[in-house]
Amino acid sequence: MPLPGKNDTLYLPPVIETIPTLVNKTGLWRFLTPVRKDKLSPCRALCPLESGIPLWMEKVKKGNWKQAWQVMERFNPFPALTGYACYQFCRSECSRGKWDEALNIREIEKAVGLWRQENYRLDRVEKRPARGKNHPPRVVVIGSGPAGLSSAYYLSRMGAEVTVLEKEPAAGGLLATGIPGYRLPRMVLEKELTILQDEGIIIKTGVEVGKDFLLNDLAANCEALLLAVGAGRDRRLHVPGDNLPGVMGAIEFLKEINLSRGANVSGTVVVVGGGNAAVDAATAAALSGAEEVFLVYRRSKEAMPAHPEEVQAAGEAGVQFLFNAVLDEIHGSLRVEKASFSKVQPSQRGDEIRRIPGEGFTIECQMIIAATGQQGSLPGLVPLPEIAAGKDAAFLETGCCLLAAGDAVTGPSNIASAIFGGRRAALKLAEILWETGDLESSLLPAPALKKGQGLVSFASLNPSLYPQQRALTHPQEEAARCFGCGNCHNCGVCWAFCPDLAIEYRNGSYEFQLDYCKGCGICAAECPAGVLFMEEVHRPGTKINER
Amino acid sequence: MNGNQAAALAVKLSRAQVVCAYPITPQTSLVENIAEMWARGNFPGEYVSVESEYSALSYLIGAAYAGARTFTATSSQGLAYMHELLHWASGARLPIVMVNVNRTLGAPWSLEPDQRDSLSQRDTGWIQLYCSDVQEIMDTVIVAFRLAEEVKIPCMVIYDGFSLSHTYEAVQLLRQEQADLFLNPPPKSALIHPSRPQTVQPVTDYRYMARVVQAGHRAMMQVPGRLGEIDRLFAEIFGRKYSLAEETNFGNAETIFVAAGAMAQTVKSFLPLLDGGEEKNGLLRLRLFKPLPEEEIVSILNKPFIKKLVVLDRNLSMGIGGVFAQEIKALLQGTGFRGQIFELNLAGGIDLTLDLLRRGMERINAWQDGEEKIIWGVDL
Repeated sequence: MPLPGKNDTLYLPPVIETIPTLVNKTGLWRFLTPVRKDKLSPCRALCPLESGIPLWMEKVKKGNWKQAWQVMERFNPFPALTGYACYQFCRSECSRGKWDEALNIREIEKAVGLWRQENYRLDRVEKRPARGKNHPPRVVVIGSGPAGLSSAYYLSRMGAEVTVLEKEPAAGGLLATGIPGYRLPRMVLEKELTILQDEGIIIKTGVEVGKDFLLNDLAANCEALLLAVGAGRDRRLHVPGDNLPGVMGAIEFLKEINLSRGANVSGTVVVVGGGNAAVDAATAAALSGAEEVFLVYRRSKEAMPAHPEEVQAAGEAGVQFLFNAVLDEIHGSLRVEKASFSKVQPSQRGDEIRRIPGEGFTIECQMIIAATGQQGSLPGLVPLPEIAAGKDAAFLETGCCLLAAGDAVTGPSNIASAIFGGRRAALKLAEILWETGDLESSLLPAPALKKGQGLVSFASLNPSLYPQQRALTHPQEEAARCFGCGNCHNCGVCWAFCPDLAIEYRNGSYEFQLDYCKGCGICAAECPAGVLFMEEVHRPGTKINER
Repeated sequence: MNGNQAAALAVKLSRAQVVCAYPITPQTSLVENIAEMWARGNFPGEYVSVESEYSALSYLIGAAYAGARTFTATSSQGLAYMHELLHWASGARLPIVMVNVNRTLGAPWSLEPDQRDSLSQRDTGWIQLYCSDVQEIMDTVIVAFRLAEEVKIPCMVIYDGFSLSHTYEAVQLLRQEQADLFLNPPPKSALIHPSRPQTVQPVTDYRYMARVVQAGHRAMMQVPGRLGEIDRLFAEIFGRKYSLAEETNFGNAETIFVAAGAMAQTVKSFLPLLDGGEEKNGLLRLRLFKPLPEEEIVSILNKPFIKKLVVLDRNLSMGIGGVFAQEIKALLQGTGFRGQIFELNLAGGIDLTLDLLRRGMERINAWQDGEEKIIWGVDL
């Protein structure tokens, strides 16, 4: 190449290439490639119901309660119940929490549920004949807890004739007998049961399998039997004196209180255990006339399986907590008089319990509530392990299909998990009971947010400039704070942040120009919906254009 | 008016088309004056505020490529922040004009008018003109536009913080028609345009680069001559005469002070007070520093009756000494100059007083072989 200019040149014009910088494919420098992947939003991933929270939140945001309910129904037929009694797993990882404060999802769910109860219109589905029959399938659900009711609801909506049997005098299972009224108002539950009955579901209370009728007799007269009998009886304490009058299981105690059989609560009550049942029982005892309530748990406070929200409520009700102590013996001649405890080394979940020799205490008490777990009632009813595991359906000799759901399968869980179990069982049964699956698919959770949905308003992002959110009274305003995580909703933040102009807005969406993306990862870090990921991707060889 | 107002007015009279600056500290009121004129609709060009000095010069580089007459202003840390782009502007030969108001570079923070900020940009390929009074600031800004556009080299107009930037002096205003007569119309040649996407200054190899820097050097060597011509034109139109290096009292003075900026003006007024009118002391004021007008300075200084040179530096290149002193020593190397060269160093922004100058001269007069030739203002 000859040298440009001469020795005495005073000015060389700048080098200007007639081709634009587009020829410089800086994307060749890239080691990581941005990839857009729709995923479950954190709330949805944590929800036992896998509820499409951003989907119905979008409807609430627009004030369209009917559509919100229609979307909600695909995941959860009882938002009023979960809106009161769910432990709101969804809220713990809410992306909005990283911005200002996690969205109050449960309150909005409650609002949708109460709207549904108030605006309920009879919308009975036409019954469909079962596979190979000329009448609709008859389904008997044993147990009217959340799992039983949810399966009954879905099966009825799909065209089955459903009967629910309940051994207690009131329907609702743990909803009625286990969850205290201060957590779930009885009116709300009763309204929900009325709706179910209006839908054509027959609920019979006070009938017990094995006592009032036999399983085989039921099986002869129906196409499917669903066992949603719950987790069963309280486990015994297995210490000397655990059979004295005045010792009760937590589930039994809550049932007494909730069904108003007049549980005689007075004097000092000791609750043994650290789960939700223990805390509920302690709180109920404190609110039902006990002078003093102690909750004794063998591990530390942090290790309690109970939901922190419940623990706090218990403290406010006057429950006194004693941690790192185990029950040794219950004393009394005719009734419980006192209980002796040993102190143990502080431990976390999974650690071995070690008594500290010589250190202990005694509490004089009139009642001891055992809340150390429940033992299943299902094995007594069904001998088949695959049924008990809830994985598969079995067919009895009569051709009746047998399936289990809810706490009977999973052990003690929570209302949301039980409703999910009921839904799953209903969908499984539907595959067996009917030929085609049109109606079922309408109840399957499917859709993702459409592009452009889920955009958060500027006002919502600036609570210091605009009026504070009023979640409890104005659910619509609270819903407007939802980021709509999990799906790209075309907000354009990636486009705004890309320092290389390697993201272009084309045909209604943002597209990566990978020829120029250097893989810096700023877009992925900034994406508010969390759908951009940096991945090491093999690039097929790109040629550098010749100058 | 003060120096900043004078500069702002000169920018307006020069019909600068794009002014871009970072308006916050360490910026001076200069840009505020321009912004105010612009906001009132009294400014012919566009004024743009950006978020940093770095962005300001980047913006002007683009504007200059597009053929606009451009101006920015800064001070101390702001100039240092521009450093990378100073090289880019000079390498691309863009006639950008900038005012730098001398202020001490941190650490620690200081507001004094130390010259280190501009002198540490000595090798960036920019022309540097040092002003010594407010009138000269106004005149030099206009001169800088003409000079930069003629030689296609960016030009820095420099004056002392506070003692010129914020001090009010009587100024003879330039008239717009005079300025229009003096300045060529802004260059029309746009190297870039949005309608023609293209790559400006892509990667080259050493051969092209070698020619670019050589051409830059050759052009820089033309500056003293061109400035001399522009000064003559300026004198014709405006009636004020400037020279590349201004000499005072060179009759048969034994001691010559060498200074730049406001300090030169101060020394000039002290000369008769120092020797009681005996004209034993003279002054050489450096106006064009980068490039130094070698021929002129050597012919002025290389006189047999000069015994001592005292170079006043309100700056310091640590490990060497004052920057002006270093440059003067290099120029006189091999010329047969026989006098002693002393430095009176006021680095840190020390204010030059008559008392301080007298005590400095006592030290210099009592100097003996083997002693340090830097007289520290801070010790006097």
